[in-house]
Amino acid sequence: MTLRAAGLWFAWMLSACVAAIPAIGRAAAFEFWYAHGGLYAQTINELCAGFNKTYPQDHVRCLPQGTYEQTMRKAVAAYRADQQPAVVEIYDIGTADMMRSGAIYPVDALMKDTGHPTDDADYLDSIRRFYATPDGRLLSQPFGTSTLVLYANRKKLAAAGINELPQTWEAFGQALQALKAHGESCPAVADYTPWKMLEQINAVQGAPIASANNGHDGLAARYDFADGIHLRYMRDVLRWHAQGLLLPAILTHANDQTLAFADGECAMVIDATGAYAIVAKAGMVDAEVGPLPVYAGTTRYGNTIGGSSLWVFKGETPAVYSAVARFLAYLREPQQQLFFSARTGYLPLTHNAEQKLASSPSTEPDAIRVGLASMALPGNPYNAGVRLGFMSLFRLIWQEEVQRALAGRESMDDALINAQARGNLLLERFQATYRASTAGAP
Amino acid sequence: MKTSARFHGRWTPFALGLPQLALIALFFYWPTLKGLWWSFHLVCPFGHCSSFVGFDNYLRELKDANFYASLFSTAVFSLFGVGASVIVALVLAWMVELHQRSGRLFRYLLIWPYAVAGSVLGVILRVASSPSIGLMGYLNSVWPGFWQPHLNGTQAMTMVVFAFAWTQIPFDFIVLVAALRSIPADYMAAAAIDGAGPLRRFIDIQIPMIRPQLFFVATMNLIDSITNSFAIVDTMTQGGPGGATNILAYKIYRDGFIGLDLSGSSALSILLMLLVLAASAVQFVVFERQAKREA
Repeated sequence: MTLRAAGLWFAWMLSACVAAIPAIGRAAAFEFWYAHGGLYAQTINELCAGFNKTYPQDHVRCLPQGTYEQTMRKAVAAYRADQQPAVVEIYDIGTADMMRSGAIYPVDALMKDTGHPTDDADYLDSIRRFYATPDGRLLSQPFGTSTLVLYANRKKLAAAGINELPQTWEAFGQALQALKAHGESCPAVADYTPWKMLEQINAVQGAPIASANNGHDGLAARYDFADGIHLRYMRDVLRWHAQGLLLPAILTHANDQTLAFADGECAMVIDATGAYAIVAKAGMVDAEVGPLPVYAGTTRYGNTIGGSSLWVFKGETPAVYSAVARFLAYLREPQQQLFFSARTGYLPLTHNAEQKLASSPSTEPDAIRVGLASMALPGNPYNAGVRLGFMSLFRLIWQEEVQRALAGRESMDDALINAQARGNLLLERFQATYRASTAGAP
Repeated sequence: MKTSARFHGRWTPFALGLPQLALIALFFYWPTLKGLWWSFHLVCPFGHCSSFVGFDNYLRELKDANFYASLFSTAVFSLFGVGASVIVALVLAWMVELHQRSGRLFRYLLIWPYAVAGSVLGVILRVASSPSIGLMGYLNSVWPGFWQPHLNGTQAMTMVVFAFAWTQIPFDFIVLVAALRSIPADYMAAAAIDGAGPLRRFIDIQIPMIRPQLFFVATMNLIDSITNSFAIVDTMTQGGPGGATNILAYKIYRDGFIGLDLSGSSALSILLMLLVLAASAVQFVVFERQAKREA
């Protein structure tokens, strides 16, 4: 009896092992952690399904991890516990940490090692410059990429007697006044975040945020934005806020700047091209998109981007890395880029895809057309975004100080000086943390 | 002590306690030791570099004006949060005891909110206290600028204190009802015969007699306000506006989990732990003294 049971058990184990062999030999399975929800997540899942169908020998499991911040945090925890995914989507400001982490397999090396060398020059200039190391390498693959544009409700502007989109901040201010005078309760809405009010505004004006090329040149960078164009802009913002012209999103019924514009509550909003999907989905037909305004009499530079790139972690087998390389190459195919872009409003990444898009302009959403055009303008050392440590904390500090200024507890001048000083303490610590490190890029 | 009440063998009690000890070791002692180690180093998020810096992380926090601002916010939050919880719970318990017949029903009803998690409550209250919709939105439309928790730090603090008190009142209420019921009926009856009204009996008999329990719930609330208030702040104000509700428990999360500043955040955690230890020590000493006096 016992002998028979043991025999049965042995046979069952054996058959299980035999059954498992082809699975081991065939599928190179890996995980991709992404940081989106809703429509964006749906689109990413469709890309994953498309890849799994095209490459039956590979299998990618695409798992949502919450917000950008949560995904970064989970990636850190997972890596420390040796449970990291093969590919992870990390937001723009995580780039400085990821590059120096010592935890990654640089994407350019991975693609070369697995026989899929990429031509980095094909990436749009502003995208490549945002993510490149000082010696021009791309350690990650750009993914969800957005830039800031002006959305306006054509009908509301026309009703207030404004027939063209404001191109300058002076005209923007006058438009706000006109809308208010015409009885508009929400001329414009903003969420008062530094990506929009500091990083993008300074980039399009070619004004520095930090020394050492906004941090691209290394750890010695320090903040340098508290005067000049940022102060001028934030003084205007303070005035618009005080006069009820630029409403905080929390004062709208939608409680969100994109939705407050999309549902017709507010007449204008400065928002990412990626917001286009939401505006379009809400069925808004009167939305007109224009480039970010600049100050009259100043030079307009090419705008920078925000968003995310894909990083590959160390610790997988060569077979898996081959599959990962195929996956990254798949996502980089022009038709996949354009599929993702058309659905979400995120920008195409390569010249190749951009040309395909331009040849069929009927399918091109306004936000993407305007966004790409505003990025294509000539640049200077300060229009390629920032590469700074503890940037997520700095963004919170900036918000804290600006909130104080909006509440009248300190002047906007002092708020920016304080934000700069507190930011510099963070940069000093970031430098001290990594100075001893031998791992990763410069 | 009866010998039959003792465990047989030397290892039995240890074995019985092992699961609990293992959990505490895994989720408390080990993270604490790790935090202590991090607090003396500068560590990279992904763990490939760390350099010993002695007390630098602590000194930096102790020199930072924002640390003291956060400490002040914590003090305000704790003081008003604990005060509101204990006073409201006490008044509710007193009223329930006054009216025995309906008291039983209200006893059950008032315990219910204890089952609501802080984060759920935070989300509900954030919507309820929105300056653009609901009651507050209406008041704002009548009286523009009346309710601005996104700008006004005092209003934001009121909001989180209200939410915190909401989470604590049920527990305090249970303890205080039990305490009031344990007061011998003779005392109350004797006082009533002497002509003392309900309020007089409450002030002169009930409150003095339940002082240990009042002290107990206040201490529990205080420790909770320092360590367990994260969910409420995260869902309602995220420490804003302008850092007005950036209490220590939230600052630790913000620096460590959003900012990936593991070293600074660990140093803050250790400072917070010392604070809680001090609060517990005070409670312990006071209880000991009380027990001795009663013995």
